Amino acid sequence: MTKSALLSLLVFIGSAALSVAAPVDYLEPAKPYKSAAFLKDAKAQPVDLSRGTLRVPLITWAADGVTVSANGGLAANPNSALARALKMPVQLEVVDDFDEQVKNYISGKTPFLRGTVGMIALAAEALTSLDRGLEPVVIVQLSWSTGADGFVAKDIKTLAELQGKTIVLQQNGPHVDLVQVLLQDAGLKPGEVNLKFVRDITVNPKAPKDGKFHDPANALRNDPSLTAAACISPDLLTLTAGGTVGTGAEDTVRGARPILTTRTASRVISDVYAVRRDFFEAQKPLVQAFVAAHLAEQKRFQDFLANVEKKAQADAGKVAEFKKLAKPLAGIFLQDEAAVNDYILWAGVDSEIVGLAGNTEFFTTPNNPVGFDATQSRVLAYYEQTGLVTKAQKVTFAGWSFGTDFGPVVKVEPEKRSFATAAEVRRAADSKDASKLFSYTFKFPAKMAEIRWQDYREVFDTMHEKVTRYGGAVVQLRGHADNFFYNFVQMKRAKGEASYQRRIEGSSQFETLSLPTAEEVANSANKLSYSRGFAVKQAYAQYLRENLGKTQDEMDLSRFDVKGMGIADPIVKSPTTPEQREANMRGEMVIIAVEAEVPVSFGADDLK
Amino acid sequence: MNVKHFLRALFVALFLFAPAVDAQETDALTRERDEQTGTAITILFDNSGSMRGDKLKQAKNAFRSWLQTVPADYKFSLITFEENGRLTIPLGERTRDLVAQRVAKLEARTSTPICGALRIAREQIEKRRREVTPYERHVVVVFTDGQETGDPRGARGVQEDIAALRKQTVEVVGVGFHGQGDYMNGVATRFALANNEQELKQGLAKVDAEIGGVDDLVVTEADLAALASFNAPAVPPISAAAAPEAEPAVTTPVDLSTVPEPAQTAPKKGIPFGWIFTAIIVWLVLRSFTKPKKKKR
Repeated sequence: MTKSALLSLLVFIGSAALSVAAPVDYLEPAKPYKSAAFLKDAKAQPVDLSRGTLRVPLITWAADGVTVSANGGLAANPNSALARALKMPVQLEVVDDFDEQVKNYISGKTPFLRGTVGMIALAAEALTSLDRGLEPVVIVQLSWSTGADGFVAKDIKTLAELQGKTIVLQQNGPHVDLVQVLLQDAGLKPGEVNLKFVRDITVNPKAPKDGKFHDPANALRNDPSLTAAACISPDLLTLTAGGTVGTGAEDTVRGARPILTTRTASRVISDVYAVRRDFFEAQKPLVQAFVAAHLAEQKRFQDFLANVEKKAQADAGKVAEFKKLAKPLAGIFLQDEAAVNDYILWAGVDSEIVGLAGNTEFFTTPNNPVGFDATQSRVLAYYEQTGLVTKAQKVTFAGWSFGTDFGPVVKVEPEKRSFATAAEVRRAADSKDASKLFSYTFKFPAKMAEIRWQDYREVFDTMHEKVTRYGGAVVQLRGHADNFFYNFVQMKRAKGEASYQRRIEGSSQFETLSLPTAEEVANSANKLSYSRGFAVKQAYAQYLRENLGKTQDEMDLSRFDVKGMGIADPIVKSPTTPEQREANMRGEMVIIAVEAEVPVSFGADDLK
Repeated sequence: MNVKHFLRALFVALFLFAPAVDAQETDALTRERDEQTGTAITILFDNSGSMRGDKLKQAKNAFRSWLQTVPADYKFSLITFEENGRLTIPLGERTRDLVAQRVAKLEARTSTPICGALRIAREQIEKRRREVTPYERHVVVVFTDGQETGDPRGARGVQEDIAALRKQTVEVVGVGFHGQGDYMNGVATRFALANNEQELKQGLAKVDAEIGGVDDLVVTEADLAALASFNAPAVPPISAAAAPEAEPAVTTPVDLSTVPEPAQTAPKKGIPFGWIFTAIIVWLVLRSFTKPKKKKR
């Protein structure tokens, strides 16, 4: 046996040993979901209200604290606001295993499903095929994830580099929505990335004691075949040495860096409640009362959080009241009642409780690129492509009229400005933590810096979708000028010439001019390129105003950083043909994750 | 009167560079764009002793009438020659009239610290690019009738500092009053003797960054072949120059091998100011007997 053959054999044996040794318990998702073993013999049972108590599931998520608070705890409490609204006590139960929730739902233990839009959409086909009465009807949105979930990868910087790589995530959990949308926006098709699934979203004390790992973070630590993982933010910080780059020491993974969290992708993971169709139709006033009580408690939380956001000017009495309210919630969701401040940060920074205005926006605003309809259409298309459903079946919304069913019409608050000044957003975009997510290119004619959104309707639709979905990202608009004339001038100067001939505008005559200097051409290029970048921002503002009817107050253009690149970054370095010159005359829209630079509403210091 | 002609020509040139402001588009975004890409003019006005008498009076009148014709939305700054150069009016909005008033009150009683004044101009531009916007077009206009007296490098120092400013994409317009200042010729972006209006007009012609089509220029086959393999010096984005960590370009050595030697040798370090003053007076007297050189660009 030759040396190289021996080496190959050793490598093979080593690899095989490694793969065998990887102590991760991967699950194979049922395709389609309705073929899952636990659904095989399932039969729909009527919802059991005989005990006079309504059972409602929760998951481990800050916004579920709203439900607990409305109910005055987990146990059935006839005096709670929720019970009084429903005229029935409510028993709450934390059920993080979505399949377990589905079982309880089918068996009639509860008419509710608590999940993300993607999770509900995944189960819809299976449930409806079992019984029409089981069709889930989405009744209320609780929140968006705005920092609690993220994506970490080893030795890559952009999502597009994931092609051909393997990613681990929790099966049937909220990160399916996240991974799907990130890959789609990076231009990757489902088959171009390998997905592996585990049971839990993070380390779970209730996981089987089988010596194997069941969560994405530990999978990434122990399986060298993995490149990336979708995980909760605390795990992401641990894996990446506090959001930098892991070294392999102290639970970090060598080369692992955060790609982004939902602080950037702030309109991807939407948490909702759904109820069974048969229950909705039979008990509509009760369901409406549930939603009304929930929205009232969401408003209470929003007010408490807005007070904390006032920092030094906050009403200390209200802060103390909120901490008292949050203490048992920290106990339930963080297993430590002393972690009150952590809970409040989780509720106010890492998630966004949406309230009545957010529900109105999510369910009823037409053409909302991150609304209920668009969100489920996107994720259902993915499920269909990957065989998780046989046919994309849209989930129904309860059809509330939010303006009248739950109180007076909400006055629209001006959109919050992410950055106070142009210099601030420019610093963020140029910071060392900034990482480019996606880009689009616009063409400009020579010497021109005007653009009409009507001429690029599809591009602006896509741009609006991305800008909205990545609500925590900076949108950099980079303008570029062609470098042909600069090269021409420099080349002439290098040859010792001092003049050139230029056509007199509007005539066929030429005039002889002194060659301009480098700084004159560069200044002109800087201005032209900046104006091109700015033209895209202006056209987008016009698109929002003219196409979507947005007012000035409803636009947050503070996230836009316009950058004139001059002639510094041409597509063709030495253009000599019209096509090459045209390729250089362009504007780019680049979406950049700048999480470390984005100001947060409040921090731990504000809660001291 | 020649001075007036020159200033009129300078105005025409600057006006050609002015942003095309569409009167219809006056919304907030348009204003923001225009603010970011405006023109900022820093004027270095020589009020040295050599300008005393009718020369200063004539220069002031001409300067004031020119200034009133320049668009009010340009930002202006004035640096005068007191001490080692003084930032008399910082760059800012609506400073045009203030500059005019201050120039009207200037007295000719200083030395000629052009390098010091250029340093102040550079620092102000760097700060503004860092803190306000890197996309403004900066023009430094140096009005002088004399030679550097404050910097031991003398006229060579002025040349070096102008070249360094140009490396920072600052256009430097040298204006030689009364037949002087020609050592800036070939070093400044543009230079003109104030009495040659035609020369000024040609030198300050409008520059576009791009061409519309190949028929806009006379480009020969030989030019295209040369361009295909030509490696033009890199031009970093102006925003990089404005970054706080960027090294000031003025410290970069400047290749002056192709520019004409200054007529005067630099004064030696440590010479008492009284001697310098005397030397300048003698030099000014001698200069008045010599015919000024004219150079075509």
